[in-house]
Amino acid sequence: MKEYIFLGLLLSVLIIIFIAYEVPSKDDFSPENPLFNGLSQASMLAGMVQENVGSLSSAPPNSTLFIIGPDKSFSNIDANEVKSFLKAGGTVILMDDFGTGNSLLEALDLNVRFDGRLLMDPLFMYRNPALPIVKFSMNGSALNVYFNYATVLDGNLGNRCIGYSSAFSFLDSNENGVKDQDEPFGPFCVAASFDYSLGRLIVISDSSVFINSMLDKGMNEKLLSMLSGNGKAILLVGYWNQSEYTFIRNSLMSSLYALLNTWLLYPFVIVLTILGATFGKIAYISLAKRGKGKAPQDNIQEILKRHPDWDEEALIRLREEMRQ
Amino acid sequence: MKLYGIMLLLFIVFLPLTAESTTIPRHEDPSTIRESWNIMSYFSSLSYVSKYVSAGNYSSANESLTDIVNSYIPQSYRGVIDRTNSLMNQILNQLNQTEVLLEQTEAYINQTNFTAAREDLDHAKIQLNMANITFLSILDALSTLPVGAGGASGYLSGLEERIAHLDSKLSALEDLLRNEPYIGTKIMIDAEPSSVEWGGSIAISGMLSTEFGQPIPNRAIEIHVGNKVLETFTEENGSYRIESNVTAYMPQISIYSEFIPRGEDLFVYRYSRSDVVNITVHYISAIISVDLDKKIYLPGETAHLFLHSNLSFPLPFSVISTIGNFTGILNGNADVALRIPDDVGEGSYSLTLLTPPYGKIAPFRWEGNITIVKLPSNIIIDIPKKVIAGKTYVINATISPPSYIVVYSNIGQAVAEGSYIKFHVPLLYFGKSLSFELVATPFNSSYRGVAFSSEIEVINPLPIISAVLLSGGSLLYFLRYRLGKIRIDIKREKIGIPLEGKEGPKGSIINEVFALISKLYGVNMEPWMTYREYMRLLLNKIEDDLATFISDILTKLEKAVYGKKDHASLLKLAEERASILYGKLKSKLKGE
Repeated sequence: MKEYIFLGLLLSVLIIIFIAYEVPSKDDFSPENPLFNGLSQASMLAGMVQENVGSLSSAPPNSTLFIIGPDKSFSNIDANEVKSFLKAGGTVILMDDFGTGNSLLEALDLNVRFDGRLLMDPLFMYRNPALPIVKFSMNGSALNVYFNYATVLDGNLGNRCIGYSSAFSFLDSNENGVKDQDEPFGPFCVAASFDYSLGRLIVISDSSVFINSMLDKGMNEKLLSMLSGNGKAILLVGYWNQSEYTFIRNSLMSSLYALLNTWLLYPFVIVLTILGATFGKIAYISLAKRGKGKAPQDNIQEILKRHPDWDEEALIRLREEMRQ
Repeated sequence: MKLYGIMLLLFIVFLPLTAESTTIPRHEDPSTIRESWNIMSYFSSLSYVSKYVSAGNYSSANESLTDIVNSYIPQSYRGVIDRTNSLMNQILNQLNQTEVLLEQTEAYINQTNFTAAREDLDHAKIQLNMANITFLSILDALSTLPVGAGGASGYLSGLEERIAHLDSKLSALEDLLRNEPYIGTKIMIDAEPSSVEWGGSIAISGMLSTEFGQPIPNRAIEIHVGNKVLETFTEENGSYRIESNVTAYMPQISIYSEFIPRGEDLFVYRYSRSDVVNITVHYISAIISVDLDKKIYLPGETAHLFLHSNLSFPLPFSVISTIGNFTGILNGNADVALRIPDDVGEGSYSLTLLTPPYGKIAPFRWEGNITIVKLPSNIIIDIPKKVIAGKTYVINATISPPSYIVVYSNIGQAVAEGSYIKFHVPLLYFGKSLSFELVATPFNSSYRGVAFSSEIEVINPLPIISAVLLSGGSLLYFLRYRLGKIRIDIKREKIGIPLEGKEGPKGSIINEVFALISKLYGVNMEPWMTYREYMRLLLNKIEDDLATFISDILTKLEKAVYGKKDHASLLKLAEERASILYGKLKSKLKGE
């Protein structure tokens, strides 16, 4: 019985690994997600490396760190890591809309915040006013960038502002999709650049500019390449709420990666061989026994137990005939 | 239980729905998002363009129109709106052209240059007519939209106003030109000599008269001598004369005169311009050759520029460059020493040699380049090809010249201490390699910085040892198990009983017993059976006393086979019992 449990478990694990390998994450901003809300294309184009906040200290000084749509607030320790990264000359791109990017801005002591109200533009938009087109001014060139359910930046930004919405845009405070009297008209600042010690922080009030479905719109891809620069591009992970599937998939994949690409592979292979040999032998013996079947007399007795009205002699004759 | 199940199901179904209904989504798929476009937003943006045109602000109007062109248009309206946008672009150009032409017309009228003014006014009229047609086309195109042409004209009132304004301006200028009161003028010029040394004087003379030959006295005449503009007045007989020194370093200069009416004359005479007279100028050109002592230089070195002039008298000169400037006097030959700063980067830098104008000697300009390179730094680093996890390594990096060293590694524990680099590979680092990067910046700026990167193989003994222990242990276990089994089988073969799962040798007393049992009861000791399985089958068929007997024999056999030396005596006992049983079975067979 035990061997069947083991074989079942082994098969299940193999199926789970296969599914995890083949079926990507569907989480927002996941670099493995090839669907409309993932970052698979952007991370490939910019050559983004996924890193946790703890490993920022070893990044080269000309690196660019992308913090896209964080779901969790930044602790003081993590904010200090980002601060050190900036002080060392790195560039941080903070993209958020209704999330928790303000916690980092607060920790960095900057006079800018994500407003949180929905930015809409009935004229300069793509299909729907919630997908407004904004203008960026980067390194002397003007870019038309497509946003997707964005907000705006608050604060006295002055010439730090590098991206504006159109004069027709408005903040849909009550989210009814139309411009009401008390809702302000644009242009609003949607991106700002701050020099921070030797580094630079760029704040963009939409987290979805680089998702797969938006990258080919307008000049979003060009903006990505301009922001990525020539140094190492890092995508900060660990600040998104993971679905259960993504959590399991990531755990499995990272375990597999660790097994296959490190020295741990060797003991693992040995253990797997021993287990396979042991349980394989047990399974083989068990199957061999089953193939032989029970004594013919026992079979007839069992049949008679189930059907007491049947003739035993007739059954024996029948068995003899079948054998012949 | 069922109730709890249903409640749990409802909770699972409704929880995500409630969450979705209260939050703004972070994004939606642009390809599936509901299309939402209001035609009035398009008209209101057109009204901005119209307002800018009304105020004569064409640059803002063009900017707004560019924005509109880039704005979102649903597929169903695209044809009409693209056409309207293109017509709007046309009308902006036409109105702007009209404005420019009318301004030029006004300027020409002010100069009493009526011919040019008429030409421009005619062009302006054509442009304005075209603008009128375009405006009607715009209304026509917009009439197909749900608002209609009537509604649309309200948003384009600014355009209409501007067209009307330009039309009235054009009419006023037309009236002015039609009633022109001005008298035409004619101006003559002569200059002597036709060839002059630099600094020499030329006499310029001429005559100003009406188109009918009437001299115009006491009028200001502008005389252009090369790039210089001189002014003189006509005499009573309309003639004028002036002398001027030629100080231009040009092989030939052009001379002409103009009569530009001023004051009251603006309402009496027209503008006129004379023919052009060319004068040849003789001056000296300096030719200076510049040679650099080397092709490439290092930062901190001194570059020597050897100058040689074709002139035998001293000439002041300057050498201008981003790496430094120099001034001096060139007396035939000169050696200019230009020190290259220590902090200058590698590359090609421009050098310019200038001599100022010096009497008859024309100024001279030479441009060239100076190339600055840095010496390569040499790095010898004794980096190990393999490292072992858990160990600390100190490696020597010999860098010439002495440099400031920074080290990066993915294990994050590499430190540069002078020319030594210390790094520790953690014992729990299971990666097969680590990256190592070194950047050295020489203290001497004449040398290039150097970077070195390497992948070092890491050997971690922990997994290797555990793998060896595991495989060794399992091998030992296997060997022990298999060898023990072989020993037992040999023993069984010796005593002549069948091996479990195998046919036994013929002729032994125990085999005879098995054969008799098979004959009597139809139960065989099959190759796959154990003694216990055999016994279980036999129990249903054999008499109880015989069953006890056989069980006793088999128990003894089993103990003898598996029980090592302590039970060796049982084998004999089992054989004795088997002989008795054989007799019993034989007699049973005979009896039947």
